[in-house]
Amino acid sequence: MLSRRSDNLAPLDGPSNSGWRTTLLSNVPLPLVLLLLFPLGWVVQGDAFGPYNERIVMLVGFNIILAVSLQLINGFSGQFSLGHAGFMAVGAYLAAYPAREYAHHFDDPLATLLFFVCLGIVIGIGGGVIYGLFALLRLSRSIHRSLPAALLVLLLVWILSDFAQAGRSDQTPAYCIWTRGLGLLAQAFSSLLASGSPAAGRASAALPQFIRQPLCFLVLLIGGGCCAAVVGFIVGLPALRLRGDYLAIATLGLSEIIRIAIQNSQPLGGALGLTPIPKYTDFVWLYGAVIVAIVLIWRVAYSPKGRAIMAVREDEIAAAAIGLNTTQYKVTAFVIGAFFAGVAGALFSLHERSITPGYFGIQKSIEIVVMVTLGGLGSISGAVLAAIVLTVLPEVLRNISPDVVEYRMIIYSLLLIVMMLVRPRGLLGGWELWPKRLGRTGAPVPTEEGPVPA
Amino acid sequence: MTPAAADDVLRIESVGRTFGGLVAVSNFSLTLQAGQLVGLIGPNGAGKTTCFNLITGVYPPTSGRILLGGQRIDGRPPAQINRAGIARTFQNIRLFQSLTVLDNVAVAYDRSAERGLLGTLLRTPRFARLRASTESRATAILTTLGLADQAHLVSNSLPYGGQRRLEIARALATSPKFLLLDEPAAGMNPNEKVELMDLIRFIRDRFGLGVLLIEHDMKLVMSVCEQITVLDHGETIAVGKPQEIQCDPKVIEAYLGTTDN
Repeated sequence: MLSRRSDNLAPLDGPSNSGWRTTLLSNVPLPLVLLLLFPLGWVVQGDAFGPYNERIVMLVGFNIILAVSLQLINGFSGQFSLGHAGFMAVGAYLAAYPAREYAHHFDDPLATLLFFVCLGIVIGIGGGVIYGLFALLRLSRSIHRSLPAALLVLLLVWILSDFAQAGRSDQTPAYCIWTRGLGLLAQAFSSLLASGSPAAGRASAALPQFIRQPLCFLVLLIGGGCCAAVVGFIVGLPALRLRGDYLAIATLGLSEIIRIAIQNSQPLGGALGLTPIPKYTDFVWLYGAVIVAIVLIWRVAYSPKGRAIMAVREDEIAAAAIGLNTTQYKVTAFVIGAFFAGVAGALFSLHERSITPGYFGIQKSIEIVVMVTLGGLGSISGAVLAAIVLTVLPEVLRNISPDVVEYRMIIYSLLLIVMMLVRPRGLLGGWELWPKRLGRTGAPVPTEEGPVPA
Repeated sequence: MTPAAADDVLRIESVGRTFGGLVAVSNFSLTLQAGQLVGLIGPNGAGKTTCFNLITGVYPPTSGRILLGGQRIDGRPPAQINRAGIARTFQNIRLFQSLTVLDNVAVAYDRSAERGLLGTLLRTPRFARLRASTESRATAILTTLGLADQAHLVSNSLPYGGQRRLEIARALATSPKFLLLDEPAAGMNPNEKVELMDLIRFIRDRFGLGVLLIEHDMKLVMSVCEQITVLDHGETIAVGKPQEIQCDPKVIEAYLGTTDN
């Protein structure tokens, strides 16, 4: 299906009348494929398939979304990120928390939406203040070259001492502006939420019964994804100035910050994790999300936007020299990747019934990086393939014979090494299983303005 | 000077750049009109490429100013300077190697990629139209430079001369007013060099560009350029027509060294 759609994009009948046809042909097959998931879901969740196999199929699904979204960052934009589990954690926790507190058994989509909206407003205000401060810092550069650095140090000392003061007494002293500001934001968040909740609940109740639960679930997925995307943006802006190994270490550190922040947050359950979380994710939802994620990331990667993202990967200096805003493209890839990692996290937490911060550690990030690298950098189908192989392989090894079980992780590691030796550029090495149609046209269409822009 | 004419002048006014204590370029001035072909020559390490990097914003100059059509462009980031109308090629070829020849040009031509995500995600009609028109324009540019047959090859599989031409095609795709070519003939055989000379003249005439050319091949420079600036140790030692430069004692000294007293 994918290959046929991409063929239809060829502008064979000229640029003027192919537009709507292209749009229709590329978007109509998607819901049809999603419909096919229902009989499949019936099989997977049936008794004959068994809960053990069902669980493996589900794990494959989460890993496909994670691998494909990291492929956009590591493979297409060439920014080696080791922090994907961090974005997954953001999505997982910020879907699980409102699912427990505000969703009322997935019956209250609007209250859930309100949670994300309030969160957005509060983050917006906080972000605005920080942005303003940085703008002032940048302005101070015109007075003296090293003034911004000096002011930044002073600001940090002020903030830290402020928090230290507030920590020493029961009541935050009046002069602790930063701590009080933070408290004020938290207060604004909870009062906004509290004042809006009853109205949102009443409005939700007015919605027809059958739509409430799926809508609520969708809100949680997209909300979790957006939160991860916002974190990706905040993390990405400074981190993407770094390159290669340095960026990898920075993203690793930032994802650890996320994990440890969650570990120390009481409302999010601390080190013990959040439990119980209402379960909603099933086969159809998960694989629906898998297909949508693959299609959307495919469309970004093999579009003019993706072409520019790849150009920045190939040569940043040349990309800037032809007028590409290199930072913008790197951040775009990073944010889209983080969004889908957040969606995967939300799907995961609403499937597992309980999550702990320990799950989202370095181990998980590396697992996803291995999938992307083994699949072949710059290949979406490779990432899908590798996610399937690497999730199923340990389980297959477990089942071969009882003797193998003890050595299965050794065999698994050996297989990884052999695969990288045999195919050093990954399973598919930058190729796709179906045509990607980038830079393939029909006959050149002469334009009225003459052959070349002057 | 009329305002319209002022728009087509690249004026570099006593620009300098130091790296720590090293003076890479000092007091470099040059005026480039649209349709003019100016050469920039000098021995290795004279600061020619640094001049290009200063003009295109790779580094900001430490002194002096650069004006494009009366507007200051020095200190702006490279992408903005390109959008203002200055395109360049690189001494060591910098293509987007794993992209096809066509994509190398299309990515330079296409500014629509920076618009919102929605069109990309939903493949709206506008998205399809823009994509089709971009690709036909990119193909047209490739045709002009004789690369249309190789449009769907991966760009690093082109022969050396082809890669140089593709870099020029990519620079032209950004619709510049001024084109800076950094040693376009390096590594070319004599036949390719003759073709290149014709090509440089052709694009100058076809698009009315101002071309600034760094080149070591004296035959090429002397035959193509209308005016030449000679750099040595970051300083301008001579400016003039090719014939004048050829007999300038300072230039001969810079290239061949002094005769013993």
